[in-house]
Parts: sequence; C-alpha cells; structure tokens
Amino acid sequence: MFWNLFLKECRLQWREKRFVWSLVVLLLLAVPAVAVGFAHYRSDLSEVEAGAVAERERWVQQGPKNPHSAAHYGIFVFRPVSPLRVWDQGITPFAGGVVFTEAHIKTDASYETAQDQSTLSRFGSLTPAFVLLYLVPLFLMINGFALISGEREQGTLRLLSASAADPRRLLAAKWLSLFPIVLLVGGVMLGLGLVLLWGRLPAANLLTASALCALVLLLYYGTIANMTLLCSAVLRSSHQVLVCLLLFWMTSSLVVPKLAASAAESWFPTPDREAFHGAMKQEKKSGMDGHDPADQRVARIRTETLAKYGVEKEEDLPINIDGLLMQEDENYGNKVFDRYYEELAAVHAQQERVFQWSSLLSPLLPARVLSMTLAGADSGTQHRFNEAVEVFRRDYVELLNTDMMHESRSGDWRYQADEGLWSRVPVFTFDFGSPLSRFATQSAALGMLLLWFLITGVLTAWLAPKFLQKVTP
Amino acid sequence: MMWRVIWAHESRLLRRDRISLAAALGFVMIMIAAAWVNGDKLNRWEQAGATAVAEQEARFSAQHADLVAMEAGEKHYDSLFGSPQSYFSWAGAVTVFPFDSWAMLSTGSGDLFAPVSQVKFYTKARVPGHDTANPMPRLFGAFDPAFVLLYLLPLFVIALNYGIVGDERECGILPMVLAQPVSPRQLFLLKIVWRWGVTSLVVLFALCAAFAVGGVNPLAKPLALAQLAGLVWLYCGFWFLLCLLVNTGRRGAHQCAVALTGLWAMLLLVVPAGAHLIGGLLYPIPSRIEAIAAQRLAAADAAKQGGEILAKFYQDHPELSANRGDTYAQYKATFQWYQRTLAVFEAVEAITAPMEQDFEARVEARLRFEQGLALLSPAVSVREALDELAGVSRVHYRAYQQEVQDYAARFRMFFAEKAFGESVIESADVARLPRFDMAPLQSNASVLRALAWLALVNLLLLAACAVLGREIPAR
Amino acid sequence: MLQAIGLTKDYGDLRALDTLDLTVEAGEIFCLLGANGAGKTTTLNLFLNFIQPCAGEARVDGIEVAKQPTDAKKALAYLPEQVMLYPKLTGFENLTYFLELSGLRLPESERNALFDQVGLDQAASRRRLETYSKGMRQKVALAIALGKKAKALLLDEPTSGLDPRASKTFSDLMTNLRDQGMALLMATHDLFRAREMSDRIGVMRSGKLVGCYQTADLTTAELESLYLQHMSEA
Repeated sequence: MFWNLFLKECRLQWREKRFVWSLVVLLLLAVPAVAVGFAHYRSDLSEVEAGAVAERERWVQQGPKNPHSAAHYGIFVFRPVSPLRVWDQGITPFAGGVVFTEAHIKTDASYETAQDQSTLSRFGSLTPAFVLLYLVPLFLMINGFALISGEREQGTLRLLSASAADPRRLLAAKWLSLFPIVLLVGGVMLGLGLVLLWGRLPAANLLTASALCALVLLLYYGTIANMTLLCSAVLRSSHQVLVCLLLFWMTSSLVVPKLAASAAESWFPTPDREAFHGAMKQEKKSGMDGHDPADQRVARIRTETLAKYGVEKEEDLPINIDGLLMQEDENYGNKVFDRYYEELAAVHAQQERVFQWSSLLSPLLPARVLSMTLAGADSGTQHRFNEAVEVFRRDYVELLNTDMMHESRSGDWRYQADEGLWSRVPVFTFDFGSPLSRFATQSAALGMLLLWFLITGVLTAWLAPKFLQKVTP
Repeated sequence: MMWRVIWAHESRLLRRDRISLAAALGFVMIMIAAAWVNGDKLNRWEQAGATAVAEQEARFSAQHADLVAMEAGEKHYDSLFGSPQSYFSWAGAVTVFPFDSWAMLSTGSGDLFAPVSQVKFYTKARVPGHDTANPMPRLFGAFDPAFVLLYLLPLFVIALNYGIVGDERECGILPMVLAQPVSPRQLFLLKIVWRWGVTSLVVLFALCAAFAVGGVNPLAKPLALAQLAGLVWLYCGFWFLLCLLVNTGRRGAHQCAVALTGLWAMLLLVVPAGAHLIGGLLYPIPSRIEAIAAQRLAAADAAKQGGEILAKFYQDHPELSANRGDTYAQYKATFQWYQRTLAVFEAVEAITAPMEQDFEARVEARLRFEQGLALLSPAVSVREALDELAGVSRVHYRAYQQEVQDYAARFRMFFAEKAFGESVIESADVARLPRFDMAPLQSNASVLRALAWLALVNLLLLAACAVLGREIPAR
Repeated sequence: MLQAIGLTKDYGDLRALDTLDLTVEAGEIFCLLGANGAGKTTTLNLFLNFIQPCAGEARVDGIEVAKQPTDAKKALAYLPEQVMLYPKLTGFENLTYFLELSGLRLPESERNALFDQVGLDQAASRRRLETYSKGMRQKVALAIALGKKAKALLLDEPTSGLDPRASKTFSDLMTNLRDQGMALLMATHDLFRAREMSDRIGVMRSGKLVGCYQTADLTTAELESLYLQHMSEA
C-alpha cells in the first residue's frame, strides 16, 4: 500500500514538465560545480605549495644577517588549502590568505581574493554547496508545493480521503517522494567529490566528512520537505502555497542571512583596523592601561639584568642585552596583542551568536555554517589559522632574539647569523583537524538545524493529517 | 479612451487588494530598514575616517609645535629616536576613501576594502581589507537598498503579476473579457503599463524614504536621481515584461509563477554564479602569492646590489643630489640608510612593475570578459550601476587604489628630498608634507551601459510580447 | 444574425468541427445538443474568435469574425458555463467595466435598470461578486449583454449547476431576450430546457451537425428518442 502510494507520487512528479526541466538544470550545474571546484583547488594548492617552498628557500638562503634584521625580513605564511574546500569555499574569498610575520608586530591575514574579483563574485560562487543549499531546496518547493493542495483543487483528494488510505501513510509517501531526486543530485555530487578527493586526505576523514555532510543535507532537506508538505496541506490554494514557500525560501536564504550580517556588525561593531592597530601600538609604548611605559620597562630590565649578572656595565654582560630587551619587548607586546585580540575575538563571537540566534528564522544559516565548517572554510578555522601563525611568529622571533642574546655581546649590532640559524626556524604547518572535531565545534548550529527539522516535522505530522480531511479548496 | 477604462479598473482592483497593498507597504518598510542599516554602517566608516584624520592632524600639530620649540632652543632630544625631526615621526599618513552621500544606497565593494589605511614611505602602499572584521557577514553580503532593489523588487513584481493573464484564465474571467470588443494585446499591455508605472512610483517613493532616512537630499544630484529613476523604471519594466511574456502562453497562474521563479533564480543566482565560474576558468587570475614571491626576490636582489642601486637612483633623480646640506652632519649615517632604503624601494618597484602590470592586466581582462557575460543577466548590470551611483563600485575603489599609490609616491618623494638633501624634518616642512585628498569620483559609465542594455532588452521583450500576445488563449 | 459557413476546425489530426453550416436568425433561440467533444463549445469559440477556423467562416451580423474580431464582438455577448467576474468588485462595478470595455458609458440609472431587467436587486448589485451565487453571476453577465445591446448571445451550458427554480428564471430571461430580437446560440446537455426555450435544436456528433429540428414539432420524449438515436449511430 505504502509502496504503491510512494510510486504513484514519484510517477506523477516525473510527468511534470517543471520537474524534468529543473532536474536537468540541477544536474547540469552539479557536475561542473564539483569539477571546477576541484580544478580551483588544485591550482590554489600548487600556488600555495610553490609559494611556501619558495618562501622557505628565500628565508634559509637570505645570507648572513643580524638576527633582528632577519626578524624584520620576516616570513610570509600562506594559508593552506583544505581539499574539502572543493565542497564549499565558505569565507575563504573574504578572509586573507597571506600573513606577513615579523618582529614586534602581529599582522592579520590579508590579500582577500574577493578584492580582485568582479561584481559577479558578489552574486555567489557556483560551488556544490551553493547548488545543494540554495538551489535544491527551491527545486524541492517548486516540485512539491501542489502535493496536497493540487490534489485538493483537482478533486482527487476527495477520492483519496474516501478510500481506506491511512492519512499518515499518505503523507509519508508524499514526503518521501520528494527525496529520490534530491538523493540523486546530492549523491552525484558527493560521489564525484569522493572520487576526485580520494587519496588527497585520509580516507577516514573523507568518509566522515561525506557522512556528516549527508546528515546536514538530509536534516536541511527534511525541514524543507516538512515545510512544503505543511503549507500544501494547510493553505487553501496552490497559489498561496507557492507564494508562501517562496517567501520562506527568500527569507531564509537571502533576507535573514543578510539581516543577521548587518545586525551583527551594527550591534557589535568591530573596531576599525587603523584604530585597532594604533591603539595596540600606543598601549605597547605607554604600557598596558597606562602603567609601565616602554622606556621605564627598558630601564628596569637593564638594571635587573646588570644586577642578576653582578656587573656594572652592559659590555661586561655575558649576553647581548639588546637581544634580551627585544625579547622582553616581544613578551610585553604579546600580552598587549593577546588582550586586544581576545577582545576582538569576543566581538566576533558575539557577532556569531547573532547568526546562531538568527538561525531560529532560517534553517539555511545553520546548514551553511555546518557546511563551511566541514569544508574547513569557516571563521573558526580561519581564527585557528591566525592563531597558529601567531604562535609560529612568536616562536621564531624568540629563537632569533635568543640567538642574538647568547651568540653576541651587548652593543654588537654587527653580529651576523647564517643559514644554520635560519634552518632552525621550523616550517609552518597548519592542521585543519578532523572533520568530526571541526563539526563538534558547531554543536549549536547542529542543534538549531535539528530543532528546525523536529519542530516542522512535529507540526507536519500533527496538522497535515487534519487538513488532509479538508477536501475542498 | 481604452487606457482610461483599464487604468481605472486596475486602480479599483488594487485598492481592493489588501495583499498587494500590504506587499507595497512591506516593500517600502524593507527599503527604509535597509537604508537605515546601511546608513549606520556608512556612518561608522565615515566616523573612522574622520577620527583617523583628526588624530593625524593632532599628532602633526603637536609635533610641529615641538619642532618650533626645538628650533627656538626651548626643547631638546638626545637622539633622533622619538624626536619630531626623525622621518619616522611623520612616516605614517592616513588615506580615507571619499564616500559619496549616496553611499547609503549600496555597500558595493566597501566591505572588501578598509575605509582608512596608512601610507608609509618605506613600504608598498596598498588598500587593505577589513582585517579586523569577521568575514562571516561579508560572505552573506549586505542588507542594503541595492539588495532590496536587485533581489526583492523582482520578487515583488512577480508576486503581484505572475498571473496577470494566467490568473484571469484560471479564475475563468478571461473568456468574459476576451468576448468583449477589445484587442487582448492592447488590453494586457495597458494593464502592464499601469502596474509598471504604479510599481515604479512605489519604488521611487521607497527610495525617497530611504534617502530621507539616510539624511540625503536626492535633488542635490538631479542627473543622478534621473539616472536612478530610469534604472529602477527599466529594471521594473524588465520583470513586468517577463511576467507578461510568460503569461502569453496557455499557462495557468501557478505555472507562470513557477516559470517566473525559475527565471528569477536563473538570472539572479545561477547565471551570475555560472558566468563567474566560466570567467575563472577562462581567465584565471593568479593569487597574490606569485606577486609577493616576485617582490621578495626583487627586494633580496636589490638589497645585495646596494651601491649600484643607489648610483642608478642618483641617475634617475639628479635633482635630489643638488640640495645637499651639511647642517645635520651628525646624522650622516642615518641619511645614508634612508637613501639606500629609498633607492632599494624604487628599484624593487621598477623590477616588480611589469609583473604588477601583468597582474592588473589579467584582472582587467577577466573583469572585461565577465562584464560581457554579465549582460546575460540584467541584474548584474543593475548591481554595477547601483554601486556606481552610490560611489562604491569597483571602478571607484580602483581609482582610490590608484590615488593611494600616487599619493604614496608623492609622500615618499617628500622624504627622499629630505634624505638626499641630508636634512631632518623642520617646522617649515610640515606645511609641505603631502596630505591625502580625494574627491568622490564622478563616473556613470556603468549606469549608462545598464540603461542602454535594459532599454534594448525591454524593447526586445516588448516586441516578443506583442508578437506572442496577438493570440491569448481564453482557456 | 449568426452564420457558420463550412466552418471547420482541426486540432492536429482530430477534426473537432466538420464543415458546419448553420444560421441563427434574430429573435431565435438555437440549441446545440451533443455528447462531450461533439463540437458544441468549439462552435461557440469560433464565433468568439477564441480560436481560428481551419476553413469556412463564422459571421456575426454579417461580419466575418476571424477578419474583424473587434467589430464582430460588438454585436456579441457571451455567457460561459461558469460566469466568472472580478470577485473583489461589486456586480455594478463589473457591469460598468465590461460595458466600458465595449466602449459604452451608460448613466447610473440605465445601469440600474439593466439589473432590474435581469432580476437582480439594487442592494445585491452593490455587493462584491465573491458573495454571489452562480445564478446571480449569470444575471450580471446577462446585464452586460443587455447593456451592450448585443444582437447575438452565445451560451455555453448555462443551466448546468442551477437549481430548478433558477433554471426556470433563466429560461424566462432567455425567451424574453429572444422576444426583444436577440439571436441566441446555446450549447447544452439539458434536453428539457432546450426543448422548452429554443425554437430550433441541432444535434452534433463528431464535429458534424447530424440533425436539425423545429422544437414546436417535438415533445421532450421525442427529442430524447431522436437524440439517443443520433448518439447510437456513432
């Protein structure tokens, strides 16, 4: 019985012109989206790898130099490319991918690729996530809006109701009939992605990411299917159902995310970059909260160091006090940076909470956040990358200052280190973490998506059968 | 006077249609909200610029007072370190993007480039992004009047007109209407023209409300206002004519709604994203990594050639060696360091210039190609035009970038003159220190292109409607 | 008044109307009977220029519909099976609009008189159409026909769905119009009403007019018998 109902629904959908058209369009978009995403991944990867190798080579072969000069010569760090970015570019085009690291200064990632793109880029990129999160739900709605209201208008609902069919089974069959095509499109994309990325990251990670992605999509599509069926059952005419669903899609996919973005920036504004860096520089100079200004710190360290080594003149110290002073300055600066960046991270966290709460109005938001997170293209991963770069910067600057401190004497600015020291600076590496660990950081988004699925599911299961009895428009 | 009959009838129907009236009111409210939200952001950016300039001028003024005091012998520094005579005390000068008052219309590229940046004479000038900002909001884009016009206006038009013929056909009114002695083509064209006009008025009213919320008097720029009105009218018309065209067949209202939704998704989501994808494939732009690598290599080479580079610099700038003084002979070593640094900087610029030009040329080629593809969707042309009217388009930011580069060159030359003249900064120099000053760029190429393109597309649609609308099936 | 001369309409391979020759004079009611798909509605659609003939001519008051549709429609009124008008407008406003579409601007008193003629009271004519029954909507359509001073009226299954009383009222209205000199062509399945109000009855089968009878010569039973006979020949 159930099987027959399900097959009948599928058959009816297949006979609709709009169904075939939209399926063709989706498949035509799905395959290039994956293929081109993969091509971009490969070219980005080779650029980043070549850039990192060349940078390392330049660093190691920079020739004899004072370590502090080398610390200002600095090292460019390039953000690695996650293979899963084929799936979803996320924030990548809008977040800097290059960081110049040097002594005294914590710089942010810069050179956002979006800066070099045309207006077209602001309309979105044709990635698998774009197809699956934006277009497929639209497809679901367009094909499912008349599932019940259409039958009511044609009068067939009257016949169905008069038959012995259990309304819940009927609903379940209609609900499930929305999925074969979605599974086909999603399956094609996931399958193609798996084939292309096989061997580019550990199989367990790839399979986990695919499974989690499928879970997110099923929850999201389940929510959309619930909404579609609910509207189709409750509203009077197919017109109303269609308008209502399109309104929901538009609000959920376009308006709420943009409103959330604007509200987040308006309620919790991030400081202007010049003001932010200016304040850090000033605080480093005048001391945190105005205490312990730089010149006093320097004087105190000088006095303490002379006392520690029991000498009266800096020339008699067994170390180069300039190296020590610079490292102490780094340590102090790091405290200032930490404080400011913690405050900045708190602002970002508040902004992201706006997105989380906005998820109550849009199931797309949590789905998109989870998709980006799985792809390693979310703001959390970017934040971890920035932190990793900063740890790398601090470590190598300390290595250079320590070398200067122990290998030269105070006032000896002519001291030069060589390749031996440069080679001791480790190569920067960044671990994206496993998809599961990244996914775990977005439990709130998963909770929201689950909430959407459950609430719309319960409403559909509760209300739709009642309205199914209403056989006239 | 058939137009009077039909327009009076449409007007009566509209007055009775609470949903349409609510939708119009909703549209106006959304537009006002968008203007308010975007205006708030614009205010923050403008405030950041004003603060940065004020702080710079306060710093310069304090340093100038110090210099005067030093020259009068009232103040003394033991070394150049920390002294206002040092170049470093004047090294950073702010550049501020000149926002037009109409910027409340669109965020444009404003969220990609920091409104304030600093130029230093010893580093390469570039306009950075919003490094401190969370990239998430930029991913989803801004909620601004341009978004409302671009995405929501077509939906508003579609929602109210998807069944302009189909609805009457489905309701069964059409046979009664077509049984009357009136040409169906004339009837529906008059209907669409009335609705188009009313919708355009609603949108213009919404825009005026948006301007009022943003505290802008649109009449101050009558030409731009006329262009905006024309753009809105034509863009509205495009969607109206599309509604009419879809309705000319034998489709019912909900088939038309599905078709129009599909077209909306195609023109606003799929075509731009697809065109971007094709542009990326055919005109790949290397990331900045290659450019950075080249610059690093050039800098390393230049540093190794120190002496030769300096000699070449003198060759290129003979005027700089003419004014050398010996008042500050005690800082000779410092001056020489600056001379070398500046010479190396210029040499690196010269070496990397071809690569930069190549990079820019590739970006330009891609932009041109994508601009061509953008014609596939009027939405892209309209977005470009709106960004241009708001003064925040790519063109505006590219001009700003260029202006910053030029300013950086002037700024650097000021210090080069001092370094090669072997002089520290003196109080008289402060007035000569170049300040960044750029007026909002006046450009309307994209607007005119969009107007022409939309007019052409609308004419084609009108012709198609006229041909296909000769026979409107009653059932 | 209404004239079909060799009127033919094909839908692909299907001949929906086969060389129909028919004349309906002024002051005459002609009923077309026939099974579903016999060509009755196609005939009406051709007179209304909703579709184009493949051959032959449809003429209204001597005007060829396919060549001068607007002129032909000036002399024509139409009453579909389901009269649907603008539900958000009142009956009075609907009447005004449809008359204006025909280029007629009548004073309010004349428009009120039209409603009186078709038996719709003033108060009802000021209510929105969404509150009307099918019979009331038909009366508005008839008021439009009267207001246009149409010379011919085409009716498509007008009595289906009407209760017997409304049906009788409708029948009286039709005969009244006929008496005023209007030509009426009506497609129907209702043999009883057809015999009661028409002057002549045509039976259609597979796009052809297979029989034409003077109503006065027939009882309802005879008409039914003739009709069934024609149908069984298929």
